[in-house]
Amino acid sequence: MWRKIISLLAVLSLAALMVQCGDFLSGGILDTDPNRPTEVPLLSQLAGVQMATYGFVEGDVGIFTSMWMQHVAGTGHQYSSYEVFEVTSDLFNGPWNQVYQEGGLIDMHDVQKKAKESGANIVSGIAKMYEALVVATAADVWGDIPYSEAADPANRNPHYDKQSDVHNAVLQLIDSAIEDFQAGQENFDGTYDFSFGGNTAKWIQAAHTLKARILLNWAEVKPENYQLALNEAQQGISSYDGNWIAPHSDAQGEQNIYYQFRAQRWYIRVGGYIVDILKEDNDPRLEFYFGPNSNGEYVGSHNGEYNEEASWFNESTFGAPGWDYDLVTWEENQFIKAECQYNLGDEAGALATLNETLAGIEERWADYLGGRSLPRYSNLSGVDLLRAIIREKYKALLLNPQIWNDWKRTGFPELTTFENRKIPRRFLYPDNERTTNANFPGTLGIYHRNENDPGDPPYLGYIP
Amino acid sequence: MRVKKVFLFILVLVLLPSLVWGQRGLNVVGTVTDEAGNPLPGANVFIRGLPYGAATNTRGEFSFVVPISVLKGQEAELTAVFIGYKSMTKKITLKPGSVTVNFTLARDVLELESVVVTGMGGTQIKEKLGVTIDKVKAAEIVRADEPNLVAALEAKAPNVEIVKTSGDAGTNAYIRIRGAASIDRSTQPLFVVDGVPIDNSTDILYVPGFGGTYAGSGTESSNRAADLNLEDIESIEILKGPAAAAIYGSRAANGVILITTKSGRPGRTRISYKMQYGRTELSNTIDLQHWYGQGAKGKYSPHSRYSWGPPLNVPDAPWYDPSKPTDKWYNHDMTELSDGGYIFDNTLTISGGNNLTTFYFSLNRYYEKGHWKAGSDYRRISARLKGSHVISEKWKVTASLFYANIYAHYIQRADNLSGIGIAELRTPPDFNNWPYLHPVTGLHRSYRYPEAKVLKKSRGFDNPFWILYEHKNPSRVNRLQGYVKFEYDPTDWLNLSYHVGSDYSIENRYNYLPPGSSRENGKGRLIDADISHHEIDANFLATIQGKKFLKRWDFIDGTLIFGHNLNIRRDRRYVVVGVDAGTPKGFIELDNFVNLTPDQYLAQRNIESYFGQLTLDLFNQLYLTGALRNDGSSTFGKAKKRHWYPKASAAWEFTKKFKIPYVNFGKARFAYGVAGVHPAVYTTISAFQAANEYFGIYTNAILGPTYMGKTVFRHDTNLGNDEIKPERTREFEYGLDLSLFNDRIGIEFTYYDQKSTDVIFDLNVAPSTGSNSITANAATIVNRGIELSITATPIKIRNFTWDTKINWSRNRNKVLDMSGADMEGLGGYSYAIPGYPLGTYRVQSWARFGYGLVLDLDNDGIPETDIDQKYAGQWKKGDVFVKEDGKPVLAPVHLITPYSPNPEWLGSWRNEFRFFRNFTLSVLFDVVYKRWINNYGKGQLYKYGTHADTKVRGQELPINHWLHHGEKAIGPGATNGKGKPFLVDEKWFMTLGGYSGDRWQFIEDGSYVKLREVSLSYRWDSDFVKRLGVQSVDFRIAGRNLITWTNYTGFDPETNRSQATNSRGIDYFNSPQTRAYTFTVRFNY
Repeated sequence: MWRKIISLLAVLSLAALMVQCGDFLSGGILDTDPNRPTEVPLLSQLAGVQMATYGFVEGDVGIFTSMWMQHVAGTGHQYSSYEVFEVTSDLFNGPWNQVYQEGGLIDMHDVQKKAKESGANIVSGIAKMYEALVVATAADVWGDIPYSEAADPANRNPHYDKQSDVHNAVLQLIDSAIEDFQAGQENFDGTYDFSFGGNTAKWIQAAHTLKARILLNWAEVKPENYQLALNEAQQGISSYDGNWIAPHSDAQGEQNIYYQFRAQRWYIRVGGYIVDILKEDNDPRLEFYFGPNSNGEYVGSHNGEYNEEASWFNESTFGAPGWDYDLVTWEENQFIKAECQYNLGDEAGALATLNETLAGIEERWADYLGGRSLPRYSNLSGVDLLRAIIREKYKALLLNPQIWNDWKRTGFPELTTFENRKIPRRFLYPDNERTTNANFPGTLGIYHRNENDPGDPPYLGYIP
Repeated sequence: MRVKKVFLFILVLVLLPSLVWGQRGLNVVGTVTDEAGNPLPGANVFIRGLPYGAATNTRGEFSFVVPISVLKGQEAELTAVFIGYKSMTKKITLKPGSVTVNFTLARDVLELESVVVTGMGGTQIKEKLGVTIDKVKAAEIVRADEPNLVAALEAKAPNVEIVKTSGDAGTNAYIRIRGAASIDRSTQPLFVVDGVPIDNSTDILYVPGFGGTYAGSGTESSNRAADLNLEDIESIEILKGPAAAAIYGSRAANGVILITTKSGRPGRTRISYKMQYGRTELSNTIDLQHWYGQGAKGKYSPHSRYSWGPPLNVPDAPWYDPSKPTDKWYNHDMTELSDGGYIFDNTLTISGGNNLTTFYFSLNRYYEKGHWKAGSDYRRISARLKGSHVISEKWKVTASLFYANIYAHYIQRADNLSGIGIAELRTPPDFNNWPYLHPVTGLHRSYRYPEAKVLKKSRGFDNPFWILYEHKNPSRVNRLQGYVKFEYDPTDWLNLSYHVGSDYSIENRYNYLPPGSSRENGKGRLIDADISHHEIDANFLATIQGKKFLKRWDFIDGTLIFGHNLNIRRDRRYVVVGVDAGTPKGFIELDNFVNLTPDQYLAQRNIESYFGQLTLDLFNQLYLTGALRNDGSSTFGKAKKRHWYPKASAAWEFTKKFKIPYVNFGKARFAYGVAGVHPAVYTTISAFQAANEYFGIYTNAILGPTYMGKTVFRHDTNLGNDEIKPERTREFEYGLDLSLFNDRIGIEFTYYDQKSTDVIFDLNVAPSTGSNSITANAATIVNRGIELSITATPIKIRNFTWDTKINWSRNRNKVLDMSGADMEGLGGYSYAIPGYPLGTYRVQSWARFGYGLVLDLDNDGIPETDIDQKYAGQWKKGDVFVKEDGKPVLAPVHLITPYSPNPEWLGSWRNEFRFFRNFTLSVLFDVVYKRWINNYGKGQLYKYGTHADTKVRGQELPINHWLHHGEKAIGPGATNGKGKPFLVDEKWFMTLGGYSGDRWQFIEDGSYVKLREVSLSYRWDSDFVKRLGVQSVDFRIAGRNLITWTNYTGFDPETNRSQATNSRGIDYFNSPQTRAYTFTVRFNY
């Protein structure tokens, strides 16, 4: 018996010997993820911020606002519901997440912090500008959003800041970006600045135009903003060479989002209203923007029409994979000027600015317009002048979310809808936030008014 | 003394072959029959303690020779053993000459004497088991006529739910046991072959960003367990839950499938050659309409995606006018694409050996041409060599090597612009899909672009024939698997063993869409992927035989096992996606593509474990087992690197104590066990990622992973969790096994109660925190159920025996808690929601009562009507609200339905009739009751106007026409639960009435009864055959899935959009199932 027990113990100690593998469970590829880094170069993270911003503005935000503003029409699948404003809160998870995650605020703040530590002022300035664009746009479409407490993993329930507080904070952020650009930075690699190649002068102009846009968007409740916005616009982008664009290329992963959408799925087509007014104005941008349908005609799909025969974008311009997307432009700066001049009583100045802008656009796209000229305006005054300014802005800022703000503020263009449905005033808060944030303010409908959009413009004489 | 004995023994072994053939000895002959006198072919007859014996032939006869050197006139025990019968022993005297011994074996319906593999080196006879382990025998597996091991287990054991994704050649099958208990982690069991874990992953070739190649789209592919050759399998043991499987620790919570392969046996070399030819064909179709053509608003339009065009002048339409030209129509229910497939399966096995060395060798070639007209096949060539050798008295070595080479072609399917289902079922009836190339231009033509003028342009949807004939989706798998095992017996009570096993597979897969396909804007795409898995497993075992260790205490017996296990798993993927093909035809290589995007993945996880198990037999009637395993894994959080998994079971054979009338055998059992599920690799780490990102819902547009030539890093949306633990499932199991009426009826009953805690999923955090989620042990899920098996031999007379077995099982699943999260998506409208069964469907729906919906009814933008309050007392949950015009409105949020893909119960009924000793008829029914299927692909066919149900266009119908779940219509446009009729037109189906509207109406009862297997076999063993040098020839004709009885309106209720993943029960243009007829001949030498 004893012999048995001794041999048993011997076996067990042998077994114990074989398991002396201290490092078997850790080290190397076992606890370092070979697929994802935990530290990355600052400039690569800045690249991430830029890419995410392009996708945010051009993606859901751009597509939904362009659809509701009838630049494009949802003619297929889920988009045929979205087009007629049948939306649910979970649709907005994507763009909301992009504000905060994956190149959103969490990386924007991180880049700024790291840039500040290393004295990389231009990097910091660029990151602030992207933050300003994303946050300002988010507050435009959602109203109140978490901002001052957001993107902090330690705070699981960030509270919602008022839309006015968000926009005011963004204005301050832009000022501090301007200071960063003015301070400058040695050895900044301009190839990491996808929009301006490290040109700080252009950044500063773009910063002023973005401020002008934000100020103008509050003019409905703060008339004094017309003057403030005009002041900023005077220092804003001075030529279309200084446009803040989202660059695209033919390469996979760098292609224009509308191109990719069309390449994968045919759920949207050209909107009916934009085609109609371009035709009405005999505007050569019709062929520049859009392509003929299979019958060789330029046709848009009107709201709720789901016209399967409608056109798509011109495949060598807006429908091309490498076509750059305008974020904040000289054209917009000009239209801001004109609208401010009009509201400040300078109708002659406004009309001159409008025609000057059309001349500039003609010049910018000269290669595409085949020598045909854009319409010019004369003898316009009062609301008709404003209507013309916004109509031209609507035509010029194709696919830009700002046109929704213009519509909310001015009521122009006067769009008609399927079953005369009302056009939404805001995006829904996303489902994800409702279920996770204790400070969620509650479900608000798409017709709920944001702080900067309390009512309809009185001169229209009807409730749109 | 002992040394001498051993020496003699070895001498005998070494000299044996010559002895057997060289000299006259004792000739042992006889027959083995059942009580009715029917012969029992294949019964083993052997002398206990001596290596002499034989198996019976079809007449139940056996004969063997005991060599003269052994014959000393001593008494010996001759034993006859046959599965399903009680073994019998008779005494014989070993002296030269001849002896005839006939055995008549009694039925043992519960197969109490069969040896069951319990895992980690343990075995137990069924009589003494304290847990449920289902044993599936070789004959049952082969009889399934299924090349895929997992699918071959369909309807073989209670509560083992198997869904084969489609009838495509080589496709995967999903298995889950006793319900699902994981959200993000796998719900399928661990597969172990001869003690070595193997890979059973299904790689659906997930390529981030490229047109959504996820589980629901792309092509189907095989699960890796399907690489095995079923002819190699001796038996399969199914350990159903932690109570049985705890010894496998943190990989065993979903159960374990233990596969034992065949070994050679000493004696004559046996050769068997099997040849099978089979035909497959579509088993079910769906109803499409052919009264209305392509177009919209009643007008023909050649580019329209819809079939809302003009009425066609076809003979069966009410408006048919024979004086006008008759319109042609084409049936697009997939029958035009399928001409049936065939199977050609050849297997050669050679086995044998002597008392020192045994070997088993098999060679198999399985070929299946898919039922599609082109583009689908599956060819597997495999070889297995297994051998064992006794080196010395104390040392034995066993080794096995398996190699498989698979070459298959798959079809693009499901949720996919270039998928076969979408392409075919959406085609308007007046469009002829053939030819798929334009006769003049030679370009791909599809119904939306019949006159395509440009090569590289999307066709909207592909022509289904184009998909079959021009897409190329080959897969080549090389798999090498094997082990070496050393056994050492230092004393008679101790056995030490060490095995090292390895399982390596590499798959090279192409997905080629030629230019002119609908994805990637028609530019063409090639995905080239290499996917490899490697698992190494090293196991040390010390086994102590109690009887020999504790000789003095004869009331006690048992074994004690100690072990140590090291396991390494390494996965590697390398994927390159090329878009925009240069040369349009023939040159299918990445060099031919302009835009290339590579993606790479590498992961490794190590596990180190100790375990021990003690089994005790007390007083030959009380059987106790206790086991404990301690697992350490590289995937566990740093806070706790090691976890314990205990188990205990007790079985009491009370009929040994009490005699109960009509009860021959009775055993009560109780078991408890804990097992786990590993966290995913690297979940402890919070990191940056360089992956591309989608922008725009449903756009499929992506930016990245590099931008403007720069690497692009961003914070990952998911936070790592340094505290992560394995999921933990504890199970209590109670059971009763009875054998009644002279062992004619066997009843096995089991109740189990599983509770899974620390279930892992990515717990959502407020997105505004900058992260979407944190991987957390955050959910609790329970599974409770009962299992009942009844085995009986209702008729047993001379020349006719009827054996039958009924399995019935149910499982109730519920998610208890999710740490405050209100739900987690499993994909495809299937969710984990606290208080509901896992996988509950939550769908877009009409506004229904019972959900607290507040609706905006006057379109003034302000929601104001609380319908539940307004109609209080009139509704029950799920009833539909209708407006004045009788139409419903869309609910502003998705609604949680009472339906889930968990079946109410499962059943199977096997019958085996043996007559005139050589004939066997076997019939197996498979029953699934109330497994709901979310058939929202039907909603698309409503929207596209191709479904037969859309023939009601133009009629006035009330909403009740679409209420299939007993709901009522309530609201201003309803009286007595019935809605006011309204005009059902194109707009209705395009918006509220179809895919864009209510998807609740498309959730269907997927109950079915399938005639899963039926076969008639005949064994030919006349003297004539023997004169040809063959022992016997077996003939068998069989059918699989011959008939399916179901009310399901899709192709087949056995289907899944997301293939072998946790997302279950979704049908969205899934590929159909097939039935098969086979003819098999097997020569036994």
